[in-house]
Amino acid sequence: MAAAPLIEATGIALAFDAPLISNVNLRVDEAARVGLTGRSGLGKTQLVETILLSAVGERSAAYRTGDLVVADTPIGYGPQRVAVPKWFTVGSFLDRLVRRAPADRLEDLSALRTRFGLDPLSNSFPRTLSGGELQRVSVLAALALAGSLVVLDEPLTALDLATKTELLEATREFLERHSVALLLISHDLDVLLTLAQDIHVLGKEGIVASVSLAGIGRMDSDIASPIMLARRAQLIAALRGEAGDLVPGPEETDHGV
Amino acid sequence: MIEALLLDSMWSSLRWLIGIGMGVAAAILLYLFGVAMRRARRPVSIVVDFLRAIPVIALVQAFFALFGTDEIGKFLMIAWATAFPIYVHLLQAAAPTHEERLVFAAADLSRGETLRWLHAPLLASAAIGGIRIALGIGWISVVAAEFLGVFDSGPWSGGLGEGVIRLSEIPDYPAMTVWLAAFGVLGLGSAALFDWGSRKVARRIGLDVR
Repeated sequence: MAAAPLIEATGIALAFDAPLISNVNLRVDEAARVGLTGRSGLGKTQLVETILLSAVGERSAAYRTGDLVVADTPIGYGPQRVAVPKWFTVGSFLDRLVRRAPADRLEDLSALRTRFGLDPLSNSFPRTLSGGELQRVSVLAALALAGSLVVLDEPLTALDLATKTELLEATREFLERHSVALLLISHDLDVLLTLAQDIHVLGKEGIVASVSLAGIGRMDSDIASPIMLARRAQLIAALRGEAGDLVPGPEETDHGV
Repeated sequence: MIEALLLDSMWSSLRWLIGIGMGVAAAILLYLFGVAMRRARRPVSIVVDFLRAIPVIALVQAFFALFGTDEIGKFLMIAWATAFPIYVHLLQAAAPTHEERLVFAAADLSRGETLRWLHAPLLASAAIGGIRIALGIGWISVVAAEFLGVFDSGPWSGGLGEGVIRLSEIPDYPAMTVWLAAFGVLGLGSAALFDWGSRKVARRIGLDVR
């Protein structure tokens, strides 16, 4: 019998004063890595927060209709607005979190901490860190706190491409090795293509397109490989179709798509 | 005259510190009550809003009727004046952000961990900010509190507020001006000293004063 999904959302509709999104069907299975993208202000972060609130037994103010089932597992959450407590040094904060992680992850978390360049920042307080450094702390904290699931909202977007790609690959390796599932929200196609296996484009009426990276070999997993460029083109086409009359961004013109 | 001024300054400072201490303790207890009893938070806030709208100077007669010229009445007046603004400050500044709360809740941290890692440091940060506010308000309320003891000659009599009233009745306006200036110097000096000390401590232990 197949294991129950970690997240199963069926026909979700969110709204504040005006409707945000409706008819969202989303499933995150164990060890799956699911990415979500779509127009700004659509309600992606609201969707994630609705899922997280549901996991802790609360109801989001935006949640209108639909069924939402979230597995009972600690969820590592790296929010878009980084929430790193300001009263701990980076070192003492991460030490506390890592102590809670399963024993078989400790070595990898320690290695990740080094790869993320956080060892020299151990004695620094968050208020002295740059946006990129804070994002790195936030992602590592989410990985340390995760049971079977981690949720990242616009992670590592403040980094340069080379550093970002290296850290995203390190994150993906960690998720793969420890079978941790991922729900990822991002506008950054590099982030999505590096971390996620299944990428969904969200529109007002639910998921309008999906791109799967399953079956792509390691050799072709580089974001500049022809296969990945083709997937990127698919995503851009879906986003452009959903965006309607929005002007194409520089990212699209850079790749001549 | 200098000896009298120093003695009055000492009595006022002592009352001020004890009153503020009681005010801070009351505000923190009130806040924790609201945290522990979420349903009580709204009614408590309504009562606090009502009570803090009553100026402390208007309560002199009420406190006199209740406590006479006893020191406890003066401490309670200062505590009254400081507790509510600190409580309101704690409500605003000690609350974690939506994201902070969600990060800790989603990770299924224990109550103890959430208290130690999230609420206690926030409360400590906010309390430092609240005390800073209370210092100023408390100092103003010392004058009102000392109205209670103007005609008392007991062992605790004295204080800058009492001195100002006595000197105005003599009348000795130059001395009264010196007493008033002492209020200003002590108020300003203590606030600056607390500011300097609290920032230094906060920086050392990583607290972000809110």
